[in-house]
Amino acid sequence: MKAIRHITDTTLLNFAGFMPPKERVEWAGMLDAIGVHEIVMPLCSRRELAACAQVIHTAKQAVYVRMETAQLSKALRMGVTAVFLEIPISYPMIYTNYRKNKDWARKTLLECGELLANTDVVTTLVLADASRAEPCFLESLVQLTAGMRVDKIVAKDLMGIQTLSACAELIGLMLTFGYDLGYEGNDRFGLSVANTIQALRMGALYAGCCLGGLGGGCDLRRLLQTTNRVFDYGINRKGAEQLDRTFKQQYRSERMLRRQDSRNADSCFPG
Amino acid sequence: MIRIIDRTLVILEAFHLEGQPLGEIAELLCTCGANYLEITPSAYRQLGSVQGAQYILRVQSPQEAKAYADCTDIKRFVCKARSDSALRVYPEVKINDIRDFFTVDRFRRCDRVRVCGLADCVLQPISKVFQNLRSMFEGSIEFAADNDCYSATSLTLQWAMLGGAEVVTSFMGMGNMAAFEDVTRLLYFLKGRRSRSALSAVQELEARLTAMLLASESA
Repeated sequence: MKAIRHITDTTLLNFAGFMPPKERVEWAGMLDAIGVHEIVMPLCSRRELAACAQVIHTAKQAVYVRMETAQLSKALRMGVTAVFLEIPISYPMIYTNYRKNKDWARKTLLECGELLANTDVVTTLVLADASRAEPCFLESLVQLTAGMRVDKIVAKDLMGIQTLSACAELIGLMLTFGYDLGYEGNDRFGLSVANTIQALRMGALYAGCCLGGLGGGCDLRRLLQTTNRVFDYGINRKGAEQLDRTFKQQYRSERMLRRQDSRNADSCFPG
Repeated sequence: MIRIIDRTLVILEAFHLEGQPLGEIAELLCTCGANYLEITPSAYRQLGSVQGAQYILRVQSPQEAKAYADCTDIKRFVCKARSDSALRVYPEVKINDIRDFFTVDRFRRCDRVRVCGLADCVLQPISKVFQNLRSMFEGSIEFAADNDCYSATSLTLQWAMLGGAEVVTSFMGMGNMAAFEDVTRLLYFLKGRRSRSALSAVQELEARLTAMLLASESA
């Protein structure tokens, strides 16, 4: 019997800048039709969220929010039912990307927890750049969420240089927290499919994927093709392959540009 | 020390490129960090000498190696499922499934063996698979994972990180293999292999090869 796993689709999130709202709603409907478990969207207008909610029948709809109280408050005001709260978990992410420090990270996480405390919003913590996180710091931040109503935790690899053993180690550590786990790889160097499989094998229940491997995420079609005989994702595989082809045809040029950009971004590495 | 064996020149033979561009690609591959270039006898004859290049010649039978025994730039010879240690010919063994291990027992005592296939390794406990692989062969192993499960680069990297000395790649993963440019970059970031100038050469090679393949395709 195949083990049950779920697909969290991040296509609309990764491709937010390239896709007009109307198309986004259409794609949300199509993703729902093939049977993805959850569709993650960027924080967009109330009208667009409502339009998406109308076309999404079975999948869950979630909104991705950075760890900023202003952004989270805005999302809550818009009446979202589920949020993916990005937590910068590595020092480079906190100091370089957010331009803050560790104390700020702790304080802001607690503030976000307070904002979410009196709501019915389903919260997913996305540990961004978990592959470069200090295990102790990662653990201490997750402990701060003990009072929050957390649905699951997702480890997100931002650099795409995580080895299989490092991935297994990270998932092994995160399993000790007692939450349901998800994993979202990065395909900059072609490691995302293997790492996602490794995470699913180790016990992660949710795989972050996107159509055509767009936006540097794990390619949904490739994951399904590789692990079809091991895991049951509850997805219509033929429908997913068809959708993947259509998506690639439509957004081929943007996809090529993105790949080029990510390859030219070697300067973001130390050394 | 991790050595990269690059198979790009073997794959490029199908594109019927002239000798000159092949020579440039061979030079760039060496600059990028390929230790040995795998090549077929016909391409080797066509190529002429390339500075600093060391070759592994792909032969159809061990006897074919005799004709190239005196070539100093040929390090050794690889042949599908056949070996001859006197002629420096070592076998290439395909393991499609992890349960195939018993079928390759006849190559156990070879000084060197190239193991290809292994695509479904990623669905198994990886350290156990590599441990089994090492225990199956007494000689050194060249790791050449297939990309059937879209995991060749990942498996190659893992093999190198766990102490494997030799890996086989091809540029852009042509021929269903690990991508040379990805493996080179990853080994630079994770193990400090080669210098940043090698990475610049990788970019140059990417541009050169893409243009060449597009031109060949349109022709």
